[in-house]
Amino acid sequence: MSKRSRSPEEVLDALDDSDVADEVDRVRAMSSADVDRELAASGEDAGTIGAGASEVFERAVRRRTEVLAGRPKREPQRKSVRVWIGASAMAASIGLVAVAASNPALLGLRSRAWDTAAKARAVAERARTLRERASEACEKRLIVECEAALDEARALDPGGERSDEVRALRQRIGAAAGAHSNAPGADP
Amino acid sequence: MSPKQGMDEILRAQDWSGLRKRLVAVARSARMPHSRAVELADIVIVDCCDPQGRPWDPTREPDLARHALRLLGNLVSAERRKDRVRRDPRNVAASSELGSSSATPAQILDAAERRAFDERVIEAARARLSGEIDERVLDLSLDGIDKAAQQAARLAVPIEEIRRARDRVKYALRAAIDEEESLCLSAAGPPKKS
Repeated sequence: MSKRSRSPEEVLDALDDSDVADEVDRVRAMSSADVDRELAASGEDAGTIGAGASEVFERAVRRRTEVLAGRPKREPQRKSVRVWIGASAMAASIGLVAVAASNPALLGLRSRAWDTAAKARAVAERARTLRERASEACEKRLIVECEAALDEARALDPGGERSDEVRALRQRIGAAAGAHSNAPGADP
Repeated sequence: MSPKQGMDEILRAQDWSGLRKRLVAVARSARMPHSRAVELADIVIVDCCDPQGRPWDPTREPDLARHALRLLGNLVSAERRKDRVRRDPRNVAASSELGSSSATPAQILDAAERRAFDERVIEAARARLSGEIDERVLDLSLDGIDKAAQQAARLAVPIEEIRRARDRVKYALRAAIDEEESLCLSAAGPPKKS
């Protein structure tokens, strides 16, 4: 067999990326009627999708106005949490692999260390996704969903609970619970 | 009129309804489920207007649809990668951790195992392919020639035939990866409970 530098996963990624690029060109060249037909063929209601655009656009304009007015930006905060969690997971993974690999006596544990590192990375990724979901739920005032996602993330990654963003979300949940209990007719 | 107001008016004048339909059509054809396809389309629309996102600049790209669809293509590709890493974090962890120039014996052994795994996957995928064109498409892809048009030109075969062959190659590769991974897992035994 000839020597190849690409792994099967890289080949799949390259084929998928190239197909998406072709698909973008194909759909861009279509007439509006063809796009509607294509959507209908995949079970979509083109009318509903088109009608929803104005609401999305208005949301986009609000966001644009906020940013241009220089209001506080949420996105960088979220990114900093992401970087923090990612860095912790990477440090843990590299540490585990380095310890297992540096000692010949531990060579037998190599595969296990590898699996542990991979598992740690997957867990950190899952916790990060849950915290992002919690943040989005809180933005939409879905407090119960927000808290549930945060609790699930805490079970996976207790250290992440100390981040500023998670603390801010917990405070919002607490404030919402307080407002609910003070509301007229709320359960004592 | 300030530049901001000017851009606001340009944005308002665009056909967002038609654009949203095109975005969803591309995401759906990339096998995204309905809800995710709509979500990605909306992320792109917001990004096109958001000065902190990937704002559309008509002076650099006069065609909003081209800009937006390119963003969507990037999102779809990133989404697929993320999904693959989520299913098997080892693929990425391994390549990044084994890339050091001062590799230890354990790392060299790991890299060799990984190469052997890759070769088994390629052979298993090849065994799943039936036609000569499929195999040649796989070979070209392994050699870095991965655009359908390039492959069609190299093999002197109509592009539609190449697209069908690519779908079969992708299916065979995914199936072979899943098969090899489950074999590795069963050889390693059940995970120990802590």
